[in-house]
Amino acid sequence: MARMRLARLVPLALGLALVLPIQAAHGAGERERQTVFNGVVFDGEGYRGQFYPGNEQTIHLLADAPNVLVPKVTDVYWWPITREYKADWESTNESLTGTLEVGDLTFPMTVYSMRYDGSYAAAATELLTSESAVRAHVENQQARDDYQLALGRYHQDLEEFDASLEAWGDEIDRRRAEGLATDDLPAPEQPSPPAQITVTVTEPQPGIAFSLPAGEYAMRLRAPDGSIVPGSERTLVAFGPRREGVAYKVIAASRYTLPDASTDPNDIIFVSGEAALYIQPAAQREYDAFYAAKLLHSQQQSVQNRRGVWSWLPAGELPASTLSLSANGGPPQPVEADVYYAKQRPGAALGYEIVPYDESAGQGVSTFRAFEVRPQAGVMTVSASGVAGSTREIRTVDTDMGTALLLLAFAPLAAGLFWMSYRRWRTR
Amino acid sequence: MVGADARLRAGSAWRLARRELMGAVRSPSLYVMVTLGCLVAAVIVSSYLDYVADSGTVVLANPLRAPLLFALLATTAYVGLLSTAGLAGERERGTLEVLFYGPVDTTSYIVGKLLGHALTYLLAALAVVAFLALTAWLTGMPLSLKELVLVAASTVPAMSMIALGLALGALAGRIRPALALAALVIAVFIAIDVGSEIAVAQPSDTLLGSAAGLLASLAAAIVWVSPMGYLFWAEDALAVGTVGDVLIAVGAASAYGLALTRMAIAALRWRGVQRWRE
Repeated sequence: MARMRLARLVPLALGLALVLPIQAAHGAGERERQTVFNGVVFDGEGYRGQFYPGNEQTIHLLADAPNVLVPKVTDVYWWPITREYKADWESTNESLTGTLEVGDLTFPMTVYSMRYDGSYAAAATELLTSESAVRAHVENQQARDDYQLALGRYHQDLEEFDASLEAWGDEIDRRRAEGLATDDLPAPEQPSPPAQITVTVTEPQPGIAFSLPAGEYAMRLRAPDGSIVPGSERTLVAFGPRREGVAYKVIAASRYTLPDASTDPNDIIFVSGEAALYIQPAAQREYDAFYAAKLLHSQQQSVQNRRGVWSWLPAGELPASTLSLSANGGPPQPVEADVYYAKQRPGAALGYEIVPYDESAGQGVSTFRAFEVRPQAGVMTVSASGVAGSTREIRTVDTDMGTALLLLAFAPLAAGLFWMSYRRWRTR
Repeated sequence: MVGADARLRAGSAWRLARRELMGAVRSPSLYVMVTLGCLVAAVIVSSYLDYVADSGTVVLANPLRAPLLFALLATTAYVGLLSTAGLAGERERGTLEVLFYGPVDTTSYIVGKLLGHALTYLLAALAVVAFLALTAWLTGMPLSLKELVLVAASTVPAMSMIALGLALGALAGRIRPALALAALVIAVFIAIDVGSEIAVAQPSDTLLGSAAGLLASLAAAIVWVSPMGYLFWAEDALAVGTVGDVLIAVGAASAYGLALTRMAIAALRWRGVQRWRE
């Protein structure tokens, strides 16, 4: 009885084991002092930080793009919850200096800064190194100081304006009381606030900046005394794109918070019952899937190390203000981009309408810039003129055909049975 | 004399091929096979349509490629088993020996069988393509030129599978062990090739994903001997749009099929055409 029960459980256990993640055999919490690298790496759009512990012997970077590695010594421990190695910067955070040897090339220690406009978003960051980093930071600091001074002056002007406005109001009241004209009394001019500083340039930090052509390199850090820093040896893989293309975010009017994405140039956008689609194009590049995953997260463990598997990464905005749209083989028509927002329907019932944005919508409304396409029966084609990989078909499908197809699938069997029955009847 | 001999052989092979084709057309198994391919296609497309009906949009590349590939794989396996069963069955029943008293030799027999089963495969594949074309017309989901090229290219791996089936049928003494052997070989090929395709999509830190490396190694090892491997090779090349790779896959499959055909001929000569006796 027990043997039968076990026999039933074994396949179930094997099946579960196939899909459950493998737990790495690491001791959580054990610390090891290591030479590590912090990376400021270009991901195709902007820059992101990466951590390369000693356990990650290979560093993956985009070729022909400036990157920064910052060598340090710290205590590294395994964090089982996120299944990655972490640095205990609080206990040990020792900066290293030296020259980075990458293949036959050498790169000295320098300084670097990050420049971004608005809030920090990896897609909008720019890397500055050496003299330009120092200069940009100084200029940014000066601009901020100037802004603070201008802001102070503005507040003073505002106080004076408030006072003069009050006095002007009193004078108006007095003249009206006396029946005198007030047209010749000019209103005080409101001061304008100084333009806000939106650009931030971080304080220059020490790091090793470099750009490499595609290839695989042996990397190590040579200390000022000429010795190789222990634990600094790594393999560095610089990889480039296989091809470039255009990705589209497709926003259906009825489900604007749940967009679809099209990255494959062979993609077709199938639509049914939608009054409008809002399309947002963006540039993209195709890379080796394993390398790309390791670029975005150096300790990525889910991706398989296989060649011949590809994935697309964003490559910034597509500088196209016009898309070309044709329907059922007709001449292409230009489609201009516009700014839209979801206008909520009044009342308690849920509902909205996507409409072009104008100032009557008020401030603080969430808007998006897109190209509006109204689906028609048949085949439409949208593309960005002269941009390879930008063409997509938009097809309207008949969603009521499912049952008919299932029935039609039995037609070959029915035809065969009829044919054999007929032959049998004929030969009787 | 040589020319007359060749004409006689060609005529025998053609008659055998016609006999195979007519036999398949009169058998219910062919219609079941085609219906299975159409049914899987209908289920897949129906699920796409349901999704579009719920969501308003769906983004897909080559929506009819997956059901077509399933149908081609299933039909390839079917004609492989059919060829094994045909040869081993004829020998077991004694009809093979009788056939060779006529103007039939080993080469014309194998070539005739190969041609007949290839026509059966083509018939089944075209029936599925017709269904997919009807699906495209009814639903708006297109059947592209690449799919038609895939069907054309798939005939070569299918003929390799037929030749392999004939070789296994020629080597085995009786129909049951021949079918068992052919089914085992086909199952192993499908398991490795299809399993490798599935495992590569899994996260590598799961057991199935970690087996992807092993499956990929096995797939690489059998890529030159698995007809399914050639089909996937052609399909991958078509997906990327590299015509050269498609031609290479077809060329390699042709060479492999030719080698298997010669092996089937040699196996039949070695084993003989007489009914196997205890």
